[in-house]
Amino acid sequence: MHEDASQQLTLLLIILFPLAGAVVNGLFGRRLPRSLVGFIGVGSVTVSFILAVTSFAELFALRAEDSHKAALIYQFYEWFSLKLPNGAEVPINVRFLMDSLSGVMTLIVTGVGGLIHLYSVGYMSEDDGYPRFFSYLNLFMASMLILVLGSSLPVMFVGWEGVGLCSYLLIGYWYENRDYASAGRKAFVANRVGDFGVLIGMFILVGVVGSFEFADINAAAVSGQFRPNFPVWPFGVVPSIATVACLFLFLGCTGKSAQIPLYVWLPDAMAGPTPVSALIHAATMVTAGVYLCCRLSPLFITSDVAMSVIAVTGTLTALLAATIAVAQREMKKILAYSTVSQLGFMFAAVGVGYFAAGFFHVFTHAFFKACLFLGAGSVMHAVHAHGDADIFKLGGLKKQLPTTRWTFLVSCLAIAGVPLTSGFFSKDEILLGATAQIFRSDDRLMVAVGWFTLIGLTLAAVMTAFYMFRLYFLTFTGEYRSAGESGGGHGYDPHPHESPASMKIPLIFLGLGAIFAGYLGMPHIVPVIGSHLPSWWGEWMEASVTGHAHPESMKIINIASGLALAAMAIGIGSAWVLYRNKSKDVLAEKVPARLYALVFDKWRVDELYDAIIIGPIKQVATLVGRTDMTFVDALLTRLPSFNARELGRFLSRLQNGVVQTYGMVLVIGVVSVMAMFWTPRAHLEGAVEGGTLQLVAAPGLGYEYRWDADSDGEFEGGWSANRIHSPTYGLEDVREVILYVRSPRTGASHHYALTEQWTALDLDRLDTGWRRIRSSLPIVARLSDGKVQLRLNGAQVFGKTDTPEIIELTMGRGTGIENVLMVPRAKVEATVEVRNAFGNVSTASREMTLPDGYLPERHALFLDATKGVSR
Amino acid sequence: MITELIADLIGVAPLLLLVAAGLSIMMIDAFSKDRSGLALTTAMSLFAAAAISGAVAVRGDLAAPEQITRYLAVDQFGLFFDVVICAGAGLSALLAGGYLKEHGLERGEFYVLLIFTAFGAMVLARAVDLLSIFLGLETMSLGAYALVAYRRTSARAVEGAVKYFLLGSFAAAILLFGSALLYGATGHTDLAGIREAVAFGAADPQLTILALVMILVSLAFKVGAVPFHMWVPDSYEGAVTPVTTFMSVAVKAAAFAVLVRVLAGAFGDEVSMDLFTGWTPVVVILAVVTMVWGNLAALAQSSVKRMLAYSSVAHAGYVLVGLAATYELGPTAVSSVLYYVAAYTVSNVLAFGSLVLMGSKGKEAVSYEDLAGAGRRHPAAAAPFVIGVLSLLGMPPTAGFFGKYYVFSAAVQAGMTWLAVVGVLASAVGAYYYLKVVVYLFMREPEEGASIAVPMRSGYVAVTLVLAGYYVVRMGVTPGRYLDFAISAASTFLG
Amino acid sequence: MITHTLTWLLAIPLLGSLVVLAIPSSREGVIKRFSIGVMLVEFLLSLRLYWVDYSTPGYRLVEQVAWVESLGISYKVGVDGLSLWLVLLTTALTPIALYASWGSIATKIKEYAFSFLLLELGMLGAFVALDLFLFYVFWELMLVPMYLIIGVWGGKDRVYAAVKFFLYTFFGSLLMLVAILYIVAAYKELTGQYTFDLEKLTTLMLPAVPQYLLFSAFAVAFAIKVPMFPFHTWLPDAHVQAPTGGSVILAAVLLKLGIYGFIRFAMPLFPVASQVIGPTLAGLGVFGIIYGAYAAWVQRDLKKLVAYSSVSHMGFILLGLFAMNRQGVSGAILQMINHGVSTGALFLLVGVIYDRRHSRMLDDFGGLAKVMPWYATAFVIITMSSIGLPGTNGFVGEFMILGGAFFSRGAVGLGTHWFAMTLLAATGVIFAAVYMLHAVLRMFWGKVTHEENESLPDLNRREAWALIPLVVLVFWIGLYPKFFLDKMTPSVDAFISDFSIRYRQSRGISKPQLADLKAIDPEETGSYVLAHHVEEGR
Repeated sequence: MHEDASQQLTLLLIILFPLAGAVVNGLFGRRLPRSLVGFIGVGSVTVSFILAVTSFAELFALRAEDSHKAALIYQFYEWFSLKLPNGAEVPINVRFLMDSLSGVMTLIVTGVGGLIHLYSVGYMSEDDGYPRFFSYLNLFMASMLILVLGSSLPVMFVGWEGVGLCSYLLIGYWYENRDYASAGRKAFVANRVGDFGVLIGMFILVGVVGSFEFADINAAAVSGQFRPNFPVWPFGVVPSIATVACLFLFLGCTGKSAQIPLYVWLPDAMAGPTPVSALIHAATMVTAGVYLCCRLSPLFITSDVAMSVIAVTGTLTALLAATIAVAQREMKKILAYSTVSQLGFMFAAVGVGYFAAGFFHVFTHAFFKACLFLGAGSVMHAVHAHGDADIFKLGGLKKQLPTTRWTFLVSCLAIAGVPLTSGFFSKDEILLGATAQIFRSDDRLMVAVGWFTLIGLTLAAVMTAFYMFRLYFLTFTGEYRSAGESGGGHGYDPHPHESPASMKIPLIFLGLGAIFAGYLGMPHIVPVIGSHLPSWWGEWMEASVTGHAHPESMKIINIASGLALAAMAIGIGSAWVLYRNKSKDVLAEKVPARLYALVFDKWRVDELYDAIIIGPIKQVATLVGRTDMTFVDALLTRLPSFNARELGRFLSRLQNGVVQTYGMVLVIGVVSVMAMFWTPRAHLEGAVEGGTLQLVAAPGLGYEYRWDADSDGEFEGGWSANRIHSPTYGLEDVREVILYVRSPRTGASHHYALTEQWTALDLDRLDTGWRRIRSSLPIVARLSDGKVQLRLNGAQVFGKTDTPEIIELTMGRGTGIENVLMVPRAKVEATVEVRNAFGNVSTASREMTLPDGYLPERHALFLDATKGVSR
Repeated sequence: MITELIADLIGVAPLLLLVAAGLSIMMIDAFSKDRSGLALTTAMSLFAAAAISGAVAVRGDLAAPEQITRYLAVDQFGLFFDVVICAGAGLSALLAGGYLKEHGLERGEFYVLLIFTAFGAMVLARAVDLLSIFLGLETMSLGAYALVAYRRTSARAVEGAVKYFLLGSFAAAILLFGSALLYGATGHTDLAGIREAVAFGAADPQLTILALVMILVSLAFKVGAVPFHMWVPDSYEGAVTPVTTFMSVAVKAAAFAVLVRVLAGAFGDEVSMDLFTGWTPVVVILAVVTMVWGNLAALAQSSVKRMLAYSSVAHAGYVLVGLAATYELGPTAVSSVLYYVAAYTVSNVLAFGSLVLMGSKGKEAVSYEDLAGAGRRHPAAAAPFVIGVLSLLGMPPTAGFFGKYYVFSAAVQAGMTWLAVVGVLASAVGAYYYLKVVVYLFMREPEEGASIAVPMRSGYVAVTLVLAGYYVVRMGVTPGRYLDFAISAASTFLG
Repeated sequence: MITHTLTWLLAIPLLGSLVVLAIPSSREGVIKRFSIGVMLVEFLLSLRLYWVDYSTPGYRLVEQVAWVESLGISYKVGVDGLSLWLVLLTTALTPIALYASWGSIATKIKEYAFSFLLLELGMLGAFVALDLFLFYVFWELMLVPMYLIIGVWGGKDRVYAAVKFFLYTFFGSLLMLVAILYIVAAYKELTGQYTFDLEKLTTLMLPAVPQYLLFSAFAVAFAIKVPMFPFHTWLPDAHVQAPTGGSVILAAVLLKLGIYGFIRFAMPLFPVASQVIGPTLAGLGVFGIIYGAYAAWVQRDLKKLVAYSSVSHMGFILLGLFAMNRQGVSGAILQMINHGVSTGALFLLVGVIYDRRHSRMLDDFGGLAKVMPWYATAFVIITMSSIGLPGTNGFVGEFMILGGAFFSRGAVGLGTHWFAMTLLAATGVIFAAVYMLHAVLRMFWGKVTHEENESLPDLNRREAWALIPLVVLVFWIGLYPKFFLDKMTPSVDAFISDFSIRYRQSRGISKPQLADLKAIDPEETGSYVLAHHVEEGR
């Protein structure tokens, strides 16, 4: 906790400005002039960008004077708190923190975000939901900033779900098209699945650390608090807390950052307006997952299992998405899949322990991918394509849209990883990480993962370069394929025109970024030459992000860069050959049609999910909905009421009005009442009077009794009026020996009739709270000449440390085994015969455990088998 | 000497008053054509009698000797029932005042019969000797038979009366036989003497048991406990509603009074009460059967009047629950019986009264259909009905709820929790048919073309409902006084 | 300075209802204004409760008057941190519900207002009663007006729904009555005196077996009210048939009484039983979360959908309650308020559209966002609160409850079935999004498919004013829950530690006896003790 740190109000303001913008535009936007709405929208973000820059500068200064853990903090107020079983109180503070990691992220978000806001002013100019759009967009900025600046998991979670909401609203922005709206819902639900993971992960972490603050969690991770194993009901034992926690958190990341298995929402998310795709679904929100991993890098790195899972998932995603992107025909779809694939790269980097590299890719990717999307947007704006643009209807646009073309080209180069563009540096780092893992680790798993990652990523890189340039060539080279068309139809505007300045400026800025951003993170060692370079990024990041050390051996470095370059060359080359100035999909003719179709249909993953997950759930739901009103309701309400009514009908039919019947019923009544007195009702109770057992028979008018105390069939004495009899018993009268076992927790008890054979005492049935740890065998008991023998099988007499394997108990003397009370007691049986005034007889007999008495029967509820011995 | 005489007179004052009233009403009826005042006179004299009894009960110094001769008691117990019976009878008289006039059945003998029947009931409730018991019972019953048959023109009424008479006399015979046996067994006719004889085993057990059974059965018949209830629905339905009301409150109350006196009094010793071998298990079984049967049968009725008849059977069952608890609790249990009877009296009057109110000259309200939509049209007229059924159903804060609570509490304290559970489940069933009244009043519209019952306008009925309603609420919200009366009555009775 | 605040709180609606009876039913305007006025006065008065100091355990503003001396029945009322917010919720929601009803209720205004005031009396009484008899009286008193509201002003099958509601709840409460009688009898047997005073009765400790039976009797009564699966089937009918105002009150307050009953009566009276049976109920709650969500998802009637969502939400509350630790219990209480606010608001919103179109079928709508933008906005906000989006009230409640369940036993909550329950419950968060967004999609997005929807008016002033306070509450609770939590925390802690002390004392006793609450040093907080007892065998 950094209570000493001075409050940094700017951090709060960075968030509040966009929030305010959102509120104003949301509530009053419809009454304000468009210009003002736009101004508020862009202005608020610009202000928070400036604030971000200033506080970043401050942070920079702090770093300069080498306070290595430098961070700006604003403690707002305490939200609420949890209380752990050990009594510790865990406050959940609304608290913002800017350190080197969140600092950079803030700059990206506000910077790129600002540019995109500016872009939207032009792009959305004709849309009538203008204020709504800006209010959503500002709301998104606010939530994203909360996500980034939040200093603890819950606060981050607020932003985390906030951006989810905004993306839901913005994807469904053109809600009149129901498909768009349901795309938004899909995104939200997919994200929710992830959020579920984050939620659980959060609890596990706080359970171990006792704090929600990232700082504390990381500290705990470093000090190895997450090592211990524990059982998870009902799965048995899992490796380490860290693994469980990380996997749950990573589930959240797959949702937010569109990784397998939850990536499916992102491509559909392109239903939203292009600036949204650029801002939320390329530059900022989708990278939140990577951000989270970097935030908790010390935690993640402690679990090899989790790291491997992440690396593999990332690689697979990168490959899968890339393959799909190769076959798509729409600009934004291609870009969407490329985003998924690039995110895969980032996670792969995280997975091989190169967090900084992964985040560096986030940084560079923000520029070129945003630029690409905006470029695509600009194209669509130019040709009046709504929603998305089919590249096979475009072409040769480089003449009409020079700015767009150049910026787009630059970004393509960057993403393909052409040397000295930003993408080159970041991607190179990632491959380096993968290679390094192969040589660093001697653990088989890790090496395997390393190989898999390296190969997978290289292939993905090839495809990236290929499909990006396929996109570029088909869009900008060759001749314009909708030229013939007349406006409407399925073609586009025959006369494309370059976009307004408000859209060009962002393009240019982002384009520049796409080229130069990379120089912040040049490789430590130049391949081939082997001379060292200063990597600003690396050391800036290491303040808040850990990771594996960079390798020094040239072999590794050369392999990595070699692969990267090769991949880039192959990709671009093949695209050049196949698509430059072409107008149709040459690849489609080269590969088998069925395969191509499959790829074009995104490997039918959505259909698969529908079939194996959503479908069944929906069916269950339908079933529930039906049974609830039919079955459950019928069972609990309609059936009983029906029975009652029918019974009533029956009874009232007996009331047939014939007086003879009535008379007969009356007589029957008389007879049956008489019958109750005709035979005596014998009832016997045992009671202890001062240690001696008394048998008490129920009294009755003119009753006579005779007794057979030990139920041996012959009566002691004849008929007499006294209904109380106090016999004495010896061992020979004992009917059977009972062992009473009593639970300490619930007071519930069981008893076992003992024989010469060993009988097992099933204590778990009692819920005694005591589990057999020492041995899996149950405690067994048997009877041997008047004594009771217990074989404890590892259990201990209560309070003693060592007990003999077999112990003996005498009647009525209890003992505690572990925390279970056991009392053996003898049972006798007594019989009384009763004769009433009409000379009829009946007998009652009763089993009694000696020497305990019984409460009167009517207290049966209070009656407890081990009464008198429980002390 | 004189003072004793005065004391005695005070003791029997309520009875004397009723006799006088009865005779004078005969006179008035004979010599004047105007009958409009009769109901009021009757009611007033009954209320007066109630007031006197109440006063005697409260003002200890007025209290006459425990007994007058060996036949009549003047104990709190008897006085309590005086009040209940007179109140019930008085309210029924008021109802009749409205009802008979509306339906043109106004005839003087009705009120005379009513008063004398009430007189018989009071005698029965005070009787502490087998002879006076039989006397009172017969006085009461004869009046009741006549009252049931009051609407001579109606076949149903006559039929109901005949059935009642046949079975009733059968029961009376049994009672007489039982009494004879008891005398034979114990050599006593007064309950106190009998008690001693039985308690000290001086009685011949065989005869005693036979006697107990017979008396028990005949009284169970009078209170209408299943399976001795068969006469109840028919005669209740046949009789004119005010009579039904009277039967279900005053007559029933008296029957319960004597039932308690005989069982808890004459047979109140450990042995003959015993939980396993005495009369307690019999009463328990009767209670269960009665509650279940009564409620289930009521469920199936389409006529409100018949439904209320069955419900009165069911309520007898609840009272028996209280009686069954006497073995353990003694006075408390008895007081629960007393309170329940009182509460049931007012609630039932309210319910029947509202039923009377709902119909008028053209059409008497009998079935649920007749009530359809009445509440929507005449909310004010329907309100008392709602309160009435809610009280019978046992919704707080009404007399009915408190009564139920009290008897069930007695059962639980006596260790018969299961009996209480059966009781509440039975009354849960009851909820359905009582609510049905509310449903028809407020939530249903009559069928097209069905003749609609119009509430009658009658001061008498209105006053009845107001009085009954007041006590239903009063005894539910502040039961204190009435409860203490019941408790003191019970404790003086059982010592 | 008013004394006898609570008595006044009970008196005002009672007197109000009587006055309403006196007003001739032709003067509808007067009746409307008057009844609302009474409720507002009530609300303002109830605000006084907030300024009472709850920082130490125990009841405040206690008033005790002997009612039926000979039976130990007394009029005893009081509030503490547990009931405070529920009382305020009641006084706040009732006027809103009544006010909103004036849009749809056209006939028998007078009777409606009367029933509503009576209903408020019953609910408040049940929340402040500290005498079991008194509680039972109020508990039953609520039934009748609600029964009338559904049965008289309800929809097509109103009679069936009303009777079902009445019988179902009545049946449950009768068993509770017997249980109450049993406790009183046991106490009498022990001390020789009758009493229904909760504080006295809680010192009575029964052996395990009777505790199980009695707890079950109480639990049935309360579980039906909650409603807990499988006793929930009356709810959809009641909700669908009830008029808007009725549904709002039913969801916002009546259901809470079930949970409140557990907290105030069942658990303190029968610690061992609730310790042993509680997890099962929590499990049923979890099942209800998912079950309700599934059922809600496939409903085609919007109101039914919301009704089932209630089942789901109440499941969360049960889970948190039986977690028996601070965040669990206070989360449950907070979630009760949240559910009251958001589901109440949802029913209001359903009522809005029903008044306009006399249909609640999702198929009859679509694209409303274009026609009724503000309505859509409100609906989406409330939806977000109901699916627990951070920043809204729903999140705080669910988070605390899940936290409670997770830490219910032992350190990381792992190795126990509570972990599994937490997981399952958390999936409820997903399904909530599924069914609510499904509703939003069908209602608001897409093109306007039915032309009769094209000219629907947006929220009118009355509806807006009814909704605004709720929306404000959504964010207030969401952003600064401490305001609410701080008041209840001390009481919650006391509740838990008392519980665990009684639990430890009555564990394994063989005949009834009286507790001495001082026997165990109060340092040991509840959750610790409970955890300890689970551990002890390990």
